[in-house]
Amino acid sequence: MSCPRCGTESLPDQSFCKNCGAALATAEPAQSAAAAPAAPALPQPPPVPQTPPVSLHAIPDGGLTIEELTRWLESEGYSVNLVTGESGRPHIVTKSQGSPLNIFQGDCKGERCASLELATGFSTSGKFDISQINAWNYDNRWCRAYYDDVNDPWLRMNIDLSPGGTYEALSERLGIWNRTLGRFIAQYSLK
Amino acid sequence: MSPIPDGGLTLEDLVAWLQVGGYSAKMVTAESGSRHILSNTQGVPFDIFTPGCMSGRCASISLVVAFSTKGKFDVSQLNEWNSDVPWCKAYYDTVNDPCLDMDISLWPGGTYESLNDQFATFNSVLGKFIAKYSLR
Repeated sequence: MSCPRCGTESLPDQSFCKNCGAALATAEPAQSAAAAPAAPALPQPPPVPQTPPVSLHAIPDGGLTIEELTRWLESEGYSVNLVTGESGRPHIVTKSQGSPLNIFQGDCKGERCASLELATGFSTSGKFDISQINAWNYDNRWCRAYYDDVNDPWLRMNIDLSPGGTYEALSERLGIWNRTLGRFIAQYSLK
Repeated sequence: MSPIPDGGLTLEDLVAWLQVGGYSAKMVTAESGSRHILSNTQGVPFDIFTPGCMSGRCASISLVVAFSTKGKFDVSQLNEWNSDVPWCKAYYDTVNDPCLDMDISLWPGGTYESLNDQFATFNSVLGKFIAKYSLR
């Protein structure tokens, strides 16, 4: 069997290339655009980390329950209020940059949810210039901005929790949210 | 879990990750000297940009698809997209062509499993975007 990445010959029972570390069993040749599948295969991780593994705190398979999410937010210093909307599923309302932050759970199976959606809206009494929204989405990373049916601006961001999620990554994404929201508020003088 | 190394991934790591998954991956150097990756999915090209790298390692990536519509795209549709569809933001460029964009954090705390899951989400959302606006 030869390695799809470097061509080195390997024994049939080897899973990874002895030369470059590429996966042998799962590797497939690169496809051209014309041959790209309608439902493309999921890329597999290169098997050999370039540095020793770091100690990470894994989020459980399937994601977090709302109780686990509540405890984690509180441990990070956030206030948590549980609010039940029309859907019947509770979501969390907390504060970020002095503004209310709604945290909705997504991709739920039973009590565990594999993703989150963060959302903050601003009441501007029709004073927000909606023509500015595209420039925000063009220029800024991470969050998508839009205006609602009364032309008030919103900012939203999704966070993946499972599979492969860690509390360190969740903390990083919440930090990104806070910084991006701060820029949004400052750029459009929102409060 | 397969943790992503401290500092994130190099461009070479990202090329290898794409190729092992069966995707094309071409390194492109802009006039400014900055490099990014050009790949394909669902028959359309997409770029992977790596802003803010340190010592060759990149803590996040931006996946970007731009569609050439020769001014035929109705840009007023994009606010509805950003309101209704999670994960990727849409915008129009200087010639009113639509673009779809998703950012993925790699480090700290990233894993290849999460990267794969988010890339699958990008593919899924891109498919919806193409279908909804009849883009090719």
